[in-house]
Amino acid sequence: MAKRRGDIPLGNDPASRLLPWIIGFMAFIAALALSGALVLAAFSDRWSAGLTGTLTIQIPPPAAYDDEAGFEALQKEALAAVRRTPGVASATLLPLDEMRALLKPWLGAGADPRDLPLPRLIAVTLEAGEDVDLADLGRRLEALAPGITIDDHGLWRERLTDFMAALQLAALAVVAVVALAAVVMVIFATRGGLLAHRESIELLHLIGAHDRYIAAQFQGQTLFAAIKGGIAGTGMAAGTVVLLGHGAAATGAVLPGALVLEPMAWLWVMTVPMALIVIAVLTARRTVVNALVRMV
Amino acid sequence: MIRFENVGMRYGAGPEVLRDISFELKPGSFHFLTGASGAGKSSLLRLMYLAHRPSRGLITILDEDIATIPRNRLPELRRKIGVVFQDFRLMSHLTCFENVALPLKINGAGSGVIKKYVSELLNWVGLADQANARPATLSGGQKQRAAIARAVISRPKLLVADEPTGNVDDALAVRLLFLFEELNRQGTTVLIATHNESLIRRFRHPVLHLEDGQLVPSPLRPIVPLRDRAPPPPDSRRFSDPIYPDAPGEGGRHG
Repeated sequence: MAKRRGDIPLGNDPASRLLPWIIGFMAFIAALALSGALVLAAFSDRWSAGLTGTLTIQIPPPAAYDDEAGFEALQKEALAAVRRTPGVASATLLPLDEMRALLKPWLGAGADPRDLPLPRLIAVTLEAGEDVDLADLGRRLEALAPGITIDDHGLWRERLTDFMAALQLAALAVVAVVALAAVVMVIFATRGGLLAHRESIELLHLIGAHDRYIAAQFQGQTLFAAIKGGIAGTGMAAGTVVLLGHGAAATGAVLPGALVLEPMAWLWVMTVPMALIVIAVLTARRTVVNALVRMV
Repeated sequence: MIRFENVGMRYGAGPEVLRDISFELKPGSFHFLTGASGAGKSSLLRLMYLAHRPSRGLITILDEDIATIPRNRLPELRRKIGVVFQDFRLMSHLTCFENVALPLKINGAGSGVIKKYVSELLNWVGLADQANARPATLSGGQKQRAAIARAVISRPKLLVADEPTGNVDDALAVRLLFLFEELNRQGTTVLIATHNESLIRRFRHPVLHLEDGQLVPSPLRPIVPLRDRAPPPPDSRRFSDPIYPDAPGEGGRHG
C-alpha cells in the first residue's frame, strides 16, 4: 500500500494501518447484505408479478359423482362464462389426466386417482392492465352451481410479500449495524491515532496550527483508508454475488434468476463504499475536533 | 509586551513549580533566562509559548490577556511566537527542509515562497546540504540548528528558546546568538534560557534568574562591554519576510 506523508505520520501507527482492513471488511458485509436485500426485492416482485395476472377457478365435483355428463356440461358452461368476462385473455380447463398424474406421487402406487372425486380447475390468464370484476364473475358462477370458487392467489402473494419484506428488513438491519460498527471502529482508530501522535499534534498547535488543520490531516488519512477499504470490500462482495449467481445458474437453479442483480441494483451496491467513505471521514473529523478542544 | 503578574504554575495537582513570578519584557527587548536545573526555566517558557495555563496570576503575551483570549484565536497568537525546544521536537518522518517549512505551510504560504525562504535560512544555519536529511541522521548540533531555523522562519514577534546553544560548539553558539540579535534588531522580543555563562557575559543583555520557582536577582553581570563585541558575521543579513515580503514596517514585519 502506498504511503502518504502528512505533517503527522498517521500511516505509521497500528490503528491507522488497520483502518483500511476494517473498512474493507465492513464494506464487504454491507455490500453483501444490501445485494441480498435487492435480490430478494427483485425476486419478490417477479414472483408476485407471475401470480398477479392469473386466476384459478375450482369447480367442485357434484355430490352424485356418477353424473359425469352433467358435470362435464357444468364445466363447459363455467368455462364459457369465464371466457365471456371482460379482461380475461384466456381460460383453459386443466385436463383431468394431468391432475391425476400430479396426484399420483402423493397417493402412492396402490391408489387409483380415478376413484377420487376430483374438482376441475380452470386456469385463467388476465389481460395486462385490465381489471376483472371478480364479484360479478363469482355471482355468475355461483348461479351455475353452488360451491364454485375463484382463487386470485391473494393469500399466497400476501404471505410471500410479508416473508420477503422480513428478509429484506433483516438484510437492511445488517447494513445499518455495519454502518454503526464502522462509526465505532473509526472513532477507536482515530482516538488511537490521537494518542499515538499526541506530541506531534501538540507541536503543530504550538507553532500555530488550527484544530481544522490538524483535523484535516486525520480526515485525509481516513479518506485514503476508506477509499482503499471501501472499494476493495465492495469489489469482493460484488465478485461473490456474481459467483453465486453463476453458481446458481450452473446447477439448474432452485430459483432461476433469483441471484442475479439488475443494473439499477448494482448502482445501489456501489453506494456502499461511498456511504462508508462519507461516514468514516465525518466521524474522524468529529472525533478529532472533539479531542483537540480538550487539548492546550 | 510580555507581562507576568504574580503568576503561579503547577502541573496537575502537584506543588507549584513557579511562584509569584512578576516581570515585564518590553517589545523588542532581549533577555536571558538562567537558573539551575529544576529551577523552573522550562516551565516559565511553557507559559510563554502558551503550552500551559498558569494556576494563578495574570499573563499578557503580545498584548493579549491569556486568561480571556478565546481558544480559536490562540493559533494566530502562537504564530507570532517562535519556539526553540530543548529537545528540538523535530518531526522524525519529515526532512530537515520540511521541518523548517512547517510554520510557513501552516500559515498557508505557497510552495515557491516556502522553497525560497527555507533554502535561504538552511543555508544561513549551515544545513543546506542536509535539506533532504531526516532528523535521525542529523547530529545534535544540526538538529539544534534545524529547530532554530523552524522557530525563526516566520519572523516571530517573540522568540523563546530553551537552551538553543546546548548542542553546538562555541563558534556556532555565538553565530546563533548573532542571528537572535539580528531578529531582535528587527523588533523581535527574545528570551533565551541558557546555562552558558560565557554567552551571557559576551552578549550584554538583561538576565532573569530563577531559583526554586521564583525570580531572584541574577548573580551574573555582563562583563564584555558593547564596544568589544564581535561584529555580526557577513551572512547574518536581514531576512526578508517570508509570509508578507512586501509588508511595510520595521524589517518588513507585520502586525
